[in-house]
Amino acid sequence: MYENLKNEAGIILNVQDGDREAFTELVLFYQTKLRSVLSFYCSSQDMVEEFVQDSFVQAFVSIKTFDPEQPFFPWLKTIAMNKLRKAARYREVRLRKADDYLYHLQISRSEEDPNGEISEANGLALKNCLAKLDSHQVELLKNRYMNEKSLDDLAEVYGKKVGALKVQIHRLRLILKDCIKQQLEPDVLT
Amino acid sequence: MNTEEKYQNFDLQVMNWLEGELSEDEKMSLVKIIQTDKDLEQRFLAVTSVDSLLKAEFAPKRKSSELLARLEMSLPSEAQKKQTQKFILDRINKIEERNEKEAQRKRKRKPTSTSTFKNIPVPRRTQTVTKIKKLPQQKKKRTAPPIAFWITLAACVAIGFWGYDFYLHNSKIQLQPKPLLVEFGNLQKISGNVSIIRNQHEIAKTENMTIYVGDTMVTGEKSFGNITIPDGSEINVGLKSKVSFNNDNGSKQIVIINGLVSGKIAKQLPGKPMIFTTPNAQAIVLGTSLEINNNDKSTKLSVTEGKVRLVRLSDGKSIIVTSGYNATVQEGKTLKLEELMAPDDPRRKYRQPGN
Repeated sequence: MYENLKNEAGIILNVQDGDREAFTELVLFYQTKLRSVLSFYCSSQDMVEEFVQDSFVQAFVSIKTFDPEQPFFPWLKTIAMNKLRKAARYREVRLRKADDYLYHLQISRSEEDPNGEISEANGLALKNCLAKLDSHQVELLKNRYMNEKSLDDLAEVYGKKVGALKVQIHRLRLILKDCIKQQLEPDVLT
Repeated sequence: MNTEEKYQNFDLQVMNWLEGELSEDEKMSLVKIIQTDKDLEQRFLAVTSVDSLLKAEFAPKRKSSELLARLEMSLPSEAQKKQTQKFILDRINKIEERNEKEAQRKRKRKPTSTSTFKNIPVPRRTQTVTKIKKLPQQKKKRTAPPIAFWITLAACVAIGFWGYDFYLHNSKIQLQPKPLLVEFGNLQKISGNVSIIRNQHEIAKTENMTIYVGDTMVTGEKSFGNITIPDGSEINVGLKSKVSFNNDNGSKQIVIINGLVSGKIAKQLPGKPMIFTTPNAQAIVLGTSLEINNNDKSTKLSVTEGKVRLVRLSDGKSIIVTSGYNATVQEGKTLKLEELMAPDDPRRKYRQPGN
């Protein structure tokens, strides 16, 4: 599983004393992990960012109730998952557009995973599966997801048609999907 | 469309949705597909999860600075905390001040003495008056309630009784099951003064009306009624007769209270004979032509076709009356067969019904 922040208890004690800089350390260390957990349930990155931000704000407000001897991330994750489930219930009655339904469909899976364990398992499986891909495939994904290059830009870089590139990226998603499923079996968590 | 094609088409839609290239109608189409196919729903969730996880995995570092900036704006600062604390304390102080003022106003309103004159100082002695021991209160004299009270009470009691009685009456009506009307036969022909009594009420009679189990037919002078039974039997009720029709476990019972009954009885089911009952005799019929004449003292059975067992109810003795014979049950008279008189025999004492 994930590593904990070094001297986490001391940092948390400082935050409890009102040290905002110390809290920044917690945010920098745990934000990616939290984003990864939440991303499993939400394909809209804007929504993920909202949940990440809300979760950290909630953690800061309630930090005095937290026992510094305990690991911070499970507590933060619980806050995030509660927010996700609350949003799923809230959105259930406010489905107006197709996107609302599709996002709700993703978020509502959080009801079965209160501790975000399925999400974390999928995240780890993805790392393993990425390691199995060819370097040019990983490069394509990095260009698409890390550098956030548009399909038009990528088509120009790779000298391919936009449609062909789109299909290639989607095929990589399908390969990863099957790989993750294989990794998680026999638990079949996907 | 085979499974592979179905997945290909679906993947294309999901891919375009992830790229944000689907129109609202196309999104709705995607939603409908997902709603109807659980397998595709799982596929959608798996593929979109991979996409999201990839985004999270390769999330650019700049997001950290963005998040910190946003958090900086969202997190409550010390100044904000102090401001909030001050605001809350101010509110508490204001509420306490208001409560204090309210209490003071109430204290002012409260009279300090028994005097009604506010401006006149109350002498010290008057204040001590309140400390004097209270005199025992005089017991209130009981007075009889006014007559209107008794009238109202009586009316209430009467209404209560009436209501209870009404309730009981209605509940009885509701509890009594509606008598189940079982068809006995059909009144084919009537002549003269014939009446049908059902549930102790005389009902209008018409030809071809249905006679139900429990009905009673009463005929007057020069009257008769003809009833056909679904099994093909035919019963004639002669003049001055009173006959009721019953059914006991499928066995038809014709109770001749008095008068004359004749009939042609179709073959009855085994163990379910048709029974003609008079106050002193019983004729058990399985299929025959007969005539029963009952008066106050005797019952005479005439059989023109088939066999009938005639039972004397007083002692249970019985006789089988065969075709062409009759038998009479009468007190003091031996139960024996007698030869049937021809229709044109001058000794016949009664007329054939309808004649």
